[in-house]
Amino acid sequence: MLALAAAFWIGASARAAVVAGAGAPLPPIQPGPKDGFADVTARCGVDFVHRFCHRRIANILLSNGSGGAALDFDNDGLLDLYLVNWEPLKGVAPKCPARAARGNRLYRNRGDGTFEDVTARAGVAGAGYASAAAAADFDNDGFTDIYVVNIGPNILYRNRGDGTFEDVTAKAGVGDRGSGIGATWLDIDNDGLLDLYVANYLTFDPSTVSEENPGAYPGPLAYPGEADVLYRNCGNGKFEDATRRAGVYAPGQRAMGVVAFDCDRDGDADIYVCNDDTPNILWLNDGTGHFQNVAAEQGVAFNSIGEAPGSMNAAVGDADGNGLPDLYVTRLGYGSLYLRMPEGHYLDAMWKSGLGRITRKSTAWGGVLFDADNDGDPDAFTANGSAFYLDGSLSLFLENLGKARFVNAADKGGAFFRTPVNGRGAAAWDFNNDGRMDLLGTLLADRPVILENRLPAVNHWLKLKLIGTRANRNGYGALIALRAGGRVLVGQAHCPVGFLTQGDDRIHFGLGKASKADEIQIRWPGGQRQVLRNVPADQILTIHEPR
Amino acid sequence: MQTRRFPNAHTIAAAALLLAAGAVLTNWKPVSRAAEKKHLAQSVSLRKMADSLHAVIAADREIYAKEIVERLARREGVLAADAAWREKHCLPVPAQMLRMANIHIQRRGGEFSYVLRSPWPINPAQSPQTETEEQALKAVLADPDKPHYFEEELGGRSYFLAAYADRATQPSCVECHNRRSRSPRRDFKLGDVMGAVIVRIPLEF
Repeated sequence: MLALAAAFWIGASARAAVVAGAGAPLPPIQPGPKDGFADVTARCGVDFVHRFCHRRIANILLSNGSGGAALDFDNDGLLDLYLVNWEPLKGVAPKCPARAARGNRLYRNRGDGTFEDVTARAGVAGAGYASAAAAADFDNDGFTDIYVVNIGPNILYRNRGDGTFEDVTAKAGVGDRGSGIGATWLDIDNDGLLDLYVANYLTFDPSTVSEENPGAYPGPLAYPGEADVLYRNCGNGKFEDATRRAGVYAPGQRAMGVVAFDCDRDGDADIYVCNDDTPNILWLNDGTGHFQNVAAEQGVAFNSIGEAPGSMNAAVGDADGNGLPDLYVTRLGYGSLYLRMPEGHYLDAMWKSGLGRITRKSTAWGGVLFDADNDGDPDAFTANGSAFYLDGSLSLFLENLGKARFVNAADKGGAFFRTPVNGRGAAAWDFNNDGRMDLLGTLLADRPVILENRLPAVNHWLKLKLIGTRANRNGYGALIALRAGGRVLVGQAHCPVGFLTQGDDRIHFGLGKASKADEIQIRWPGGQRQVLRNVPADQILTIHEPR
Repeated sequence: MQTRRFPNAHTIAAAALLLAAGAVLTNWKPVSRAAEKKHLAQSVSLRKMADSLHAVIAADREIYAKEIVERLARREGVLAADAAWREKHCLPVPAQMLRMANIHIQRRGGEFSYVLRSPWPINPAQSPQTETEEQALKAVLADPDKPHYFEEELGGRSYFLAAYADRATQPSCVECHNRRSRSPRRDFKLGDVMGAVIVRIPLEF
């Protein structure tokens, strides 16, 4: 036992040294026979490495890392993977050796557990210091497009449908030049066209020094925050800047993540923005695409200790099983599990849920709520890492025991959850379509990790892929109530973006022991209702909106 | 209209002044006569900073409870104080004032925060929310006449934390807490410790 511990300690120290030199990426993590998640990145053939040509995290922009998106770009029913990377940025990131110049990468899922790099053929290598990507079908042509968020001009790639993409940024008018860190697709006015919300961070100035500690890099409040941008889709391939008209112009924020969901179930998309050392924002949609910030009134602007520390990410899910959408906010500082109450506000259950105690030592960046074991309640995965050192932190697999009570399930998760890494992005996706949600983590200065879910398949599941006809083709905004085994599970189609990274946008339900869904009710954006009955479990069901 | 009047300008101004003073002291380059004074402070200790912040918070809290709520609501009956102050067009209760002032400080980028905690909160959100807050509350209840200092780590961020007794200084405090149906304890007397004010200063940014 002692020898094992020593070996682990030596391994961890060696890793820290390797990463600090931005050298060799994390070697494959060997899973144990009972591990719930297995690192299969190398087997998948995903050889992406985040470009980080520093020996330390020397400034605030270098602390953030980069992410990507899971998407099915070729409509073969398999999720592909797009990962974005950093190019040199004046005053922030210097030029790297040629071997490190790898750009963004698109990996096509072959369906046999491996991926092929199709970046060159697809034409999506991109340019710039890329933070994140958000993928959806903005022109309703049946093919998923990609928006790349950069510190600097963003890029919109339109999917031509033949395996190639074209850069339509200029034509579409969505090349915001801010310090982009995230974006989400949503239909703000239910006109059947996906609009685009871009989250911007802060205006970096390399000459700024820390007042508190000259040896440390300055925190976010040392820099001016930037306003986010909302682009409204005009439907002719062009977008208009609707930020001010929609009421979401808010300079001085320092966004790190954004998610759109219908918080009050009134049929329109609301927006939650995570800000760094600035109160978070809940933009409530009045149904016409005009928004008002209600975060403080609804209890989601601050954490339960009354402060607004660096919020990175908000994961949406029904943690307590009351049918209403909760938010799990990860932070550098005390996180929040905001439980939506029927009265229309949120209560922060970070301490009561057990998450406060478990996450005490962890700086969490990306985070997702996902049903790992298909028992009908969402568990959680958080990507952890220091904002100041490349010394590695343990990621967390948090099991929901029901009613939003969480325990650290690292033992169930396996070797990856005992391996220190510099976690940043986190997403859930079912890349092998086996009905068990897999995980994706992006790491700072390192390769990503694809974690295959190998938890015992003792429960049933159902996955819905929605195709809008009157609504936007992704069906984003649709509300689904599924009745199975005496329980009602509620889900929502939305662009599942978190910090830097987008996951699987199919709506996944763990059904427990129920072998069928007795009834599925869908409320499409715009209000049209659809009901399916006696749907057998353990399948991916494509549902077209009735015309 | 009313909400604009309620942010506690004294708290915010005093806290800003205190922070500014700390920053000035930290960056002070002694010149001329001052250069000869080897004893000049170069920085403010965390304990002194927390104690000073608490002095401002406690003073504002007491003044609001005494001169606004106690006088207008209880003695003169001009305007009631109620937790549902928006709906009832009346005064916020002192605990809400404290929370509102903290929110306004956060919006201004104040790099400290404070909360009210109690083992008998009317609002469940004011029960302890971290392990250290639980310890701090116990320490305050056991020895309310002195401040209690802690360090804690939350979400990977280190904090300095100071806890101070919060007493029922006015009859209106006692009456309200003893009257409300949601109040877990209804035998408070004037001068009793009702909870703690917790001041938290982050140690990393």
